[in-house]
Amino acid sequence: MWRWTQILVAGGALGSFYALVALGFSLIFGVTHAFNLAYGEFILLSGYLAYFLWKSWGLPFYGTIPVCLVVMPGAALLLHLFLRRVRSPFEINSLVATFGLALVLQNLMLALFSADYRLIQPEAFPFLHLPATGLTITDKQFGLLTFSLAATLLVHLLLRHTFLGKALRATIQEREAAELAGINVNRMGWLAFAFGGLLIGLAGPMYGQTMYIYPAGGVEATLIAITITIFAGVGRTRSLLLGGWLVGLAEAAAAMWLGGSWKELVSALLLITLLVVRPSGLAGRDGNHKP
Amino acid sequence: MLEQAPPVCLELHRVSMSFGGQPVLKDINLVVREGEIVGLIGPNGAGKTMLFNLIAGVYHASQGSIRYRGQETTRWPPHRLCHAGLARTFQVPRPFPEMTALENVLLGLMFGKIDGPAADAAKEQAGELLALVGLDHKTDTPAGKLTLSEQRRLEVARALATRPHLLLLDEIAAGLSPQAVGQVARLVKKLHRQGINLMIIDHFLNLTLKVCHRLVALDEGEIIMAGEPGQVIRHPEVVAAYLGTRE
Amino acid sequence: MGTISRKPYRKQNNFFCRFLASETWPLAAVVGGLLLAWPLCFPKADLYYQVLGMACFYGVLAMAWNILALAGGISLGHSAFFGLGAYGSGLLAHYQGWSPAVTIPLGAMVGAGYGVLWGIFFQRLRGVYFGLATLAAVEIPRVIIDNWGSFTYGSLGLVGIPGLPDLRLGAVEISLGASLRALYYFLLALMCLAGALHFWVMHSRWGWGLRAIRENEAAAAMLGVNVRRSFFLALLLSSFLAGLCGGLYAHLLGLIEPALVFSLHLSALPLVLSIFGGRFHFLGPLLGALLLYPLDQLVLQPYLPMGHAAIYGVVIIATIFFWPRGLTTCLSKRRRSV
Repeated sequence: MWRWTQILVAGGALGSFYALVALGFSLIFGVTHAFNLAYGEFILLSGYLAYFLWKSWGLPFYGTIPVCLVVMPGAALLLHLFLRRVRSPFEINSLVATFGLALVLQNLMLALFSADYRLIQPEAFPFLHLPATGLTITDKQFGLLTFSLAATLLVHLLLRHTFLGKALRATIQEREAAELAGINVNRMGWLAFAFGGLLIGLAGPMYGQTMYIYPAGGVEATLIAITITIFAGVGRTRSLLLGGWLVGLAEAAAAMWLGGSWKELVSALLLITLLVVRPSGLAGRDGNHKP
Repeated sequence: MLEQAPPVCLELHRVSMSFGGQPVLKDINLVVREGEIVGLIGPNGAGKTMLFNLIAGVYHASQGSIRYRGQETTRWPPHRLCHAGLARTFQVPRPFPEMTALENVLLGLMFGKIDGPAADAAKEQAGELLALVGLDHKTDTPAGKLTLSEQRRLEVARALATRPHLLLLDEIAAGLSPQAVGQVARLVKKLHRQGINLMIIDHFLNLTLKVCHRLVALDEGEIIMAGEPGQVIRHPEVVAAYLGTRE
Repeated sequence: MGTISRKPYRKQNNFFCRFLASETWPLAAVVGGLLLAWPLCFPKADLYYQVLGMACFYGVLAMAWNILALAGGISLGHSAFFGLGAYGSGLLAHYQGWSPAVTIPLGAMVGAGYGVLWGIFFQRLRGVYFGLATLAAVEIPRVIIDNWGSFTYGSLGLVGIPGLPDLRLGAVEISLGASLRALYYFLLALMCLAGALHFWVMHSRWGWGLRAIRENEAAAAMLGVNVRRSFFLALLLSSFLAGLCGGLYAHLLGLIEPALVFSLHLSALPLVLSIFGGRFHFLGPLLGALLLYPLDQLVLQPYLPMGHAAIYGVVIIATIFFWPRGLTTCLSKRRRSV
């Protein structure tokens, strides 16, 4: 019984974080149609940045977040500059180009940081402990939950209730019509990458204190982001959150019953299942991919 | 008058199709006999292209049956129908863009019949087919670089390369000048004389009236009128469908 | 049809004649001659034997990938076949003690078996979605082998896999295990065989059908190409060859571990080599491998022992940006797709 609750807590915290991870990917993909396979590597970069700020400069963990929030949007904008030059067919070419970029970044991280597994603040403290039940919420889980949900809520409010958000959503839903309606689609692309960069900046340190960072770990994060984005559809915050929780719970359950190393299978299996069951996936609304 | 009707080439019996719960074609009955040119007319969204897709095996009918040359072909895949002698063009041309015009036609020759020739052996024939549609000067141009009307003609050559018995032409004359329509009409008649049966989708009626023996008018997925071209286009229901005032 | 001649078709040339008729056979002959002859001038160059031999090896892997790409299937997960081939062969040699000559083809069949699964589950996926599915599909065998420690030795890896046996051709004995030069010639011969197969695939009737599927699937089906079967066979051959490479790799190296053989690097390598060399030409993947791999190993590796593989990422990005059709486009006078 309490084991279930423990899964629920672990999965909920992890899932909210996954929603945060997917949010950035989905925003960038929705507005620019760029399949960014180097997305996970960007989160890792942000994680490494936080790690070294914490380890070498002695910054407290929460002090690393503002730095990442400043640096990563810059990196994301550079990425946009890079992807804007990809020729058509854009989707498959951006996929292959970012696949190459992922390879470059992986090897760069390998050269700079070596293949070691690293974790920010390895020791976790119980934030809430109910002795009668054995249920424990660590401070890490609490931080993860709070920051992820707060960021998701902010993005949700931005998309739903500001003029800028409406313009972004219009671009996601109907690019050409948005352009005709006087929205500067080009500027929306830059904005999407900037917001995506902010989300990556927040996700990096969170990643670094929740799971080990190592150069080859980015694929996992990319797969999770893509899985949840396909599940939820583009730019739909509430569905993204739901998708994040489902993936998080599935992983927590797999880790609990089968062992931690099996959880890597969950996102891959979910992604394949989603692709096979809904082959139109992300493009469903365009109507280009009728069955 | 009492002479026996020619044998049936294609028969649709109570064919219905729906997409995501939305009916696109309702209870279509249609017969194409040997030696016929049948025109398919109707306003946009009437289901003309969907009907072609069902006949050609791109989609399979939700209900009803399609018989082609005496065989039940309702659930056949496109390549099998092609081998049985059915070819089509697409409303929006679908050339193989990176291949040359000649290679496009070669593919039709190679794969149109099960025992098709190898690439080298069929080049001469492919050239002749290109000449037939007036593209012999574009033999080595990549198909993606051709103009829209050239791509349409290429599609006809490619479809002919499969040596069809029934040819479905989808909006082949849309947007052409009167002279060009005249050329297409001559080509269609020529093919007909060679023993090919044709079905032609023609939204603007500029080709069908010149060549078709019979017209079938579709609206909202139903056949509203079929018969002599002159009668069909004057029929009040058909006129109303085109004007969008049909109840 | 009256206007079209009904002459009997000209007798088909065989593939050797067709190869001689192609524009690029002189280049193929020069490259082949150089690869064959240079060891005569430099008999003691073990490093070069090893690097060029492995370049030939990766050339085979790149051609395996390219057979699927010919049909438009851009796979980001060929290391799945490679790894299954390696583990299939390695485990059979470990538990059964069979000779590599038997276990490598069997390992390749394990890879091809996974290819069958792709064929069943991914048959409706194309383009980007196929790419994503293949990327995820690598994780399944990797995690299973990683966790099935009692059988596969898990993340510790499988060690002590026997090396390649000696070949006996009449009176001549070739020791593939001991002589790097013999191994080099063996891998070169393998590459030539695979190159011939690749040429055949590209110029056969089947290969024409695969190209048609890549360019427009609906039109291909309408012209009589059996899309499902053609694509499935391409996947099968591609996965079998990739599995064969994996099996060979296990015996060349003597040890394998999941993170090594199911890596992003091994998925990316054939893609990079093919696209860089030019995936529309039968020599493209080969030239890509023969140029890039030695560049990586001989020039970069000494300076950057960790992370030298970044070169492949840089190269693929540059290729996509500046000459998306690859190096071999400049070989053909005419712009064409074979």
